[in-house]
Amino acid sequence: MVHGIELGSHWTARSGVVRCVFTQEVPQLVTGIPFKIYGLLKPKLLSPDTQYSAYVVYKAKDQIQDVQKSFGVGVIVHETPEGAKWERLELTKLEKREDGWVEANFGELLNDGGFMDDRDEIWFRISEIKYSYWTSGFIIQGIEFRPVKKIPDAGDLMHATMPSPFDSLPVDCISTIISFTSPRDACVAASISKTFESAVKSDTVWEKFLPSEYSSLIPQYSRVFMSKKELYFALCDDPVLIEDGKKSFWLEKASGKRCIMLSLKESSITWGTSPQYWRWISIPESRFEKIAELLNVCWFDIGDGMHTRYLSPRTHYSVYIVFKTKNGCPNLGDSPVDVGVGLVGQEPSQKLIYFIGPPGRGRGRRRRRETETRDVTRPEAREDGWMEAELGEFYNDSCCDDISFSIIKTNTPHWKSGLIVQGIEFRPAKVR
Amino acid sequence: MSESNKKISLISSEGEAFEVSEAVAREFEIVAHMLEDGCSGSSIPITTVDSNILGKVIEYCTKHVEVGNVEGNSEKAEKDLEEFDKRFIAVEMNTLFSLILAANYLNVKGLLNIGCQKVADTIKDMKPEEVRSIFNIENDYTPAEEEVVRKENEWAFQP
Repeated sequence: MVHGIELGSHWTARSGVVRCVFTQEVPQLVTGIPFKIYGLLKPKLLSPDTQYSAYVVYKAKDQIQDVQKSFGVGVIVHETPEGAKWERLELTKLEKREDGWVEANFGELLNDGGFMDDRDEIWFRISEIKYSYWTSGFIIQGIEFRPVKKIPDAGDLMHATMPSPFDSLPVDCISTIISFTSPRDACVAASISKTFESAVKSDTVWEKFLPSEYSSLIPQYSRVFMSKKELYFALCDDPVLIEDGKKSFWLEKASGKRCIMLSLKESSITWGTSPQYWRWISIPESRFEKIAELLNVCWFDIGDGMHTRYLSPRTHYSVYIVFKTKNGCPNLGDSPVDVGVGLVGQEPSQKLIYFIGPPGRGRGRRRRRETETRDVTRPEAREDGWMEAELGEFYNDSCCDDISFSIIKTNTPHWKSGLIVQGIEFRPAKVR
Repeated sequence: MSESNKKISLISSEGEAFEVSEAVAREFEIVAHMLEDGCSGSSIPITTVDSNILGKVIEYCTKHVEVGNVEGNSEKAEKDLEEFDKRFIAVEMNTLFSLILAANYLNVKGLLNIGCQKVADTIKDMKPEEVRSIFNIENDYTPAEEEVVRKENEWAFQP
């Protein structure tokens, strides 16, 4: 006889890590029959490209040795439970947790790049392999998924007297190894030893982190680069204009991933070509020659798209509007604006943003306002003096799609003005 | 005798002979160059690589040549090869470094890459102290020198 418990669970994100815990009622095993717990969760709730361990978090009312019978446990990604290979779990290898519960690891999985696919599922199951005599009082709080801690195997730890295996490698090989990490890892590795420092400087390393078309971008700089590393940091710190000045391109320093700011010059802006509604201005603090200033419209509607080949593959991107406001941005700055982002052919994500945010005068009024505006994204100040507000996120899998965005305020009849838009920025999303 | 049936002996540092097809031997770029330079001998000494490691490198190259010769379902073949690489490179640390060293010397690019990737995966996200202690690397910086290097790369240590 088999009992199934579909796990009702609650998700919390803490320090970039998603974990699953029960919040309300916890099941308690009251009889000694063989049991089975199974469930599934969507991989996209977990962080991408991360090795996770699954733990059963429980308490046993009676002594632990009474409940050390074998379990069949398993966890599997992207397949049906029938495909899972079940492992035997020794409950004697349990660990006490700080929160007073006990946990036992029952499997690992790699949450790879395919996690955005809604059809993907992570299955897990805990069941008794053979009939055992459970006493009552086995209480399961939940199944926890958290990243595997990188603890080197005992076999990997070397005796202090042994020479380092790196001593036998030519510096070229160390450079090749570093080229498989990330720009951030490379810069950290320079502090390991003098050999590492010279390996990190090598062009082998930075050529790998540079975009493939880097040689065509060099002429945009009026200086000479002594190394690929120098060029890499130039591409991070000083964006270049590409595509006839319609896009600004740079690299995210830590990862080397591609970032783009899209000029609105070619975008579809309702009334954008009528000088009494929108005008095109040149200001020194803009990357583009001409940027859009809103003079006066009732119907505020901006939309455009871009091919994702300009961005890095297998990467989560966030999309931002980069702007400034003038004279308080009348009739627009303080009310929610509809924005959306999505790959063409898919349902775009929809949300609300503020260009400024509602004024908070008077206690009663503020309270009312706050309840009204809970789900509206507020703008944030950037280091370059501009403001930005996030329009949405998307996953660029293969660089073969079109990404589109929309920014719309048409549900109020008032005349809107006082907004200067530099462009739409695409940069890798922060891992949450 | 047709080209593809030609056998070549690779001699390890211990003097042990490994007989392989020419196609497999050519996966070693260093050997391929020797053959192109008119080295017609059928036995080639690989003096810096021992039998254990040479055997493994040959295993790697043989598999890659085999899969490369199969026509048709290339997507599946590629997946199989990926699986093979993953299992092949899951070795203890000393063997891993010996394989990298051999792949570098013999110029077997694919093997060099998966070996380096494996080490890279280990040191990713680690602090310099952790890398030093895992691999027994001597810190040859004076505290002042280390301070300078850290300062130069300060951004990389920030969250």
